[in-house]
Amino acid sequence: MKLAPKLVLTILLLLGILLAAGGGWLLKTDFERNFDQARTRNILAHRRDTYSLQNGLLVKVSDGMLSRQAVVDYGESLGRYVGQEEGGFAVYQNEESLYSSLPGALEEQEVLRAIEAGEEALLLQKAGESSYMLMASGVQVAGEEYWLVSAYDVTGVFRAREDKFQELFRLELAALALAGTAAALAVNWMIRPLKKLEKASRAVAAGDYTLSTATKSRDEVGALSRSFDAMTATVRDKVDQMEDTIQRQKQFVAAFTHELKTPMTSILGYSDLLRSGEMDPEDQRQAVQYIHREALRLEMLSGKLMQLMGLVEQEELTLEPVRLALVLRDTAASLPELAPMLEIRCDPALTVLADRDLLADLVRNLVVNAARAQPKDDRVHITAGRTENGIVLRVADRGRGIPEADLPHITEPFYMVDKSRARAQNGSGMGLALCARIARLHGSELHFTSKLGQGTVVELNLQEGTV
Amino acid sequence: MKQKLFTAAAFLAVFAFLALVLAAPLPLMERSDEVLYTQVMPRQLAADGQSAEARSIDFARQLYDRDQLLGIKNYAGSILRLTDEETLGDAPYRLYDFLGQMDFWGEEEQAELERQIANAPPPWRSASDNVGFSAWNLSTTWDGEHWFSLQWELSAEGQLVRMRMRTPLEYTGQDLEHLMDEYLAVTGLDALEDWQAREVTVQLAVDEQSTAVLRARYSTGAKLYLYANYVDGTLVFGVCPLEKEELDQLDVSLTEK
Amino acid sequence: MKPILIVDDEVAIAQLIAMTLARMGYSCQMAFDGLRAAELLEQNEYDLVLLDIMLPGADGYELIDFIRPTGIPVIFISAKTTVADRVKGLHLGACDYIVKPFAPEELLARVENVLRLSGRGQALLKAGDVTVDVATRQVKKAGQEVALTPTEYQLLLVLLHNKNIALYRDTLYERVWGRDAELDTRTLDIHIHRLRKKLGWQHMIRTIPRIGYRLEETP
Repeated sequence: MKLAPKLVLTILLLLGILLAAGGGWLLKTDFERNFDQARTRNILAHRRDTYSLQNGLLVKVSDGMLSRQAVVDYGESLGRYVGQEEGGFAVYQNEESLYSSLPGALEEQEVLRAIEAGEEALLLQKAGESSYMLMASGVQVAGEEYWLVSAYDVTGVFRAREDKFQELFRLELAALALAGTAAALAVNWMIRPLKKLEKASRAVAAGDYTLSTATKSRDEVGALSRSFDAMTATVRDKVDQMEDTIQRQKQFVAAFTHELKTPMTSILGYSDLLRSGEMDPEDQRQAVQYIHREALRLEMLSGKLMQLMGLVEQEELTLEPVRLALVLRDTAASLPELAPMLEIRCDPALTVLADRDLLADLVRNLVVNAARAQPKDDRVHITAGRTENGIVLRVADRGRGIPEADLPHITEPFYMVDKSRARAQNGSGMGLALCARIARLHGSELHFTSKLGQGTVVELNLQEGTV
Repeated sequence: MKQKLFTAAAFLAVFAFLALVLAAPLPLMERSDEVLYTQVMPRQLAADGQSAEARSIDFARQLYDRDQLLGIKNYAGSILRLTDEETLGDAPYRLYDFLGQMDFWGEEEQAELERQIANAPPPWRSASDNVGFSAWNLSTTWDGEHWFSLQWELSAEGQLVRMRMRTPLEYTGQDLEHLMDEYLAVTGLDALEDWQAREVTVQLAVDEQSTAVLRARYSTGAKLYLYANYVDGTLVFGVCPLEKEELDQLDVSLTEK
Repeated sequence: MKPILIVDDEVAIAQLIAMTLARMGYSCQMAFDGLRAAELLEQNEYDLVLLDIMLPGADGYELIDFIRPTGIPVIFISAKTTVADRVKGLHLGACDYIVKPFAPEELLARVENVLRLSGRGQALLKAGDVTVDVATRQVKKAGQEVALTPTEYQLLLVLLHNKNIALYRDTLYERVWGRDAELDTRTLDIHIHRLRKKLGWQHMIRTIPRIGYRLEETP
């Protein structure tokens, strides 16, 4: 069951029980009060009647005679005196009625029962549609005992209670209907943010993380919707990140297989030609040449790949203080054919926190890239200096530069700005990916600034170390 | 679909329950009524305003009950009905019987009373409350010239409740005390031991030349006020039920005048 | 017959294709980038263009826009293997799509197929007085139809594709019976013998000692 009907039903239930209890109590107390009032009033009236009868009969006795007729006469005059609208009375002697103005519906035996109950009792009796209070009192005059039995109509008290109950019932129904409507409206209003939230979470479940619940209310539901928004935002970011990663992995795999396919095609094709039949010696020599070269390329590719994989798996490096000048010397030594191009400016005292071999590798890759850019001055400038961010290592060339559109991608594996030239120069498309990885392991990033035809500058911040 | 059905069922159940709950007073009422109709309820016999001692005296009780139940004090002239001599019957003799028992009532007073009653021409006037007490109001002359209203009230058993008559005799305070003592003795009210004299100073507008002797007593147990006045030739005495609060108010109103 | 243009930035691949096609008697021209290819297309006429997609200068997709108006059939050669890439290539007007790496035989078959469909290539393979209609698989000698088993037909095709080239026995066997077949050179010899008999090629199919067989046709 939904929340709204649940709440409305609960409210209705509670309200109904409260109303019923309250109404019932009201009815009860009201009736008891009315009944007590009627009883008090009627007891008084009965006492008055008894008193009247007694004194009236006494007067007759003072005349020296008390005939039956006198009693009857006096009863009549008393009847006139007290009025007959509400019930009536009867005078009994020895269980025999001398005079009676009691309502006909009242049975004789009930009257006798009232006499039997005595002077300190009050009976409630139903006769026909009406209810009567019955009271009896003894009157002794001149040695004779008479009983006055009075009946007082209290139907009104019961009828009033019935009327009140009906009125109350209607009122309660109206109140419930009103309360139900009001509750439904209020609850609907209150759970509106919840509905929004539900819609939003459905959307999230369906993969749409853009919906925001944006509730202004300050209650718990509002807080929930806000934290839900925060949650979707986080999830959205994470999903974006994951999708990004997956995309990059897909791209990597696609690029990798693509890179594999070209050499494989050559190797398979030429070897197939070779083995299928005789060839003229020149073609044969060239075919073998191609096979060898493409195999070499594969070997280099796998080597670089292994290195990159190794670095990717490696989470942290143990960095130790290294003289930067020594690293640069290593780099120069490993590139004898490029040595004449290098122009190194580095304070020999500069010490950085680094893995010496990896850093040398990084610089070597950057230098090779710079050299491939065919600088106009045939120079690759390597400078190192101290700044507030630590030590900045800079590799700059005045080569052909990198197109702006390619700049964000150049550190992706297998990305080549100019594929055929890169191939011709034995590039694998892995160099800068390696460099970026090594930089990251040093807690830094590579910063490229480049202009077409004017050259490229790569900067790397390194932490300063002490020997 | 299932959910909607369930919700509808829940609503129906709740409505049914609510109807039951709202209608619950009906059977409860019937149950309590049944008890009411079958049980014998207690009834208080009388309002115990008076002490037990006072209630044991018939006259005191009758006075008090008449006041309580019918709201009739001995204020004369309430319901008047023209009557004739036949109706009057033995009423004067019943008065004479009572007065004759009083040591205070001398022959002079008796002669004057009889003369006044004899002088009273028909129609007689009587005011009776029809509950055993009968009050009489006779227009008569007291010295053969001046009209005057002679009033008395008797209980069913012939006890004088009050009396007012014009008299040529003069009474002192001492006489009035005597009258009260005698009255209490004849009515049996002297059995009450808590009669206390009340100081009554001024009453009504009294001429400077005229004499005004006022005496009163009050019994807290019986809640009865006994009074005897002699003002300017008129003798008034009697007893009437009076609550203590009413008495206090009476005092206040008296002193104010 | 007009030459076939091979456009691939990988020199090795371009050379490989050229060599393969040359053996079948096709003449080839090569271009190693998009711009050079466009230039050649403007200057010369071709029967077929074999086009790599990833090209420096102008890529294959751009080039095909350039080629389409000329009506020259195009076969894409690419390492891109996704369905989307293939569909895109075919939609753009390429007649076929060859995925790297490929076997020379496959390349040849595709090229012949496209040429035949476009009505440009050899609909009939000939050697001496024997003609083979590749489309209907009909083999005729001097106008008379010769009934060949599928294996004999396949063997004939391989020989025709490698005219004047000495084919190694195991290569031959593999191309006809498949790579997984148990090598039994007797079977090959029997089939060669039947072919010679059915086509009257006792002297055309020469046995090369220690190597295999060669279909000789003196021009």
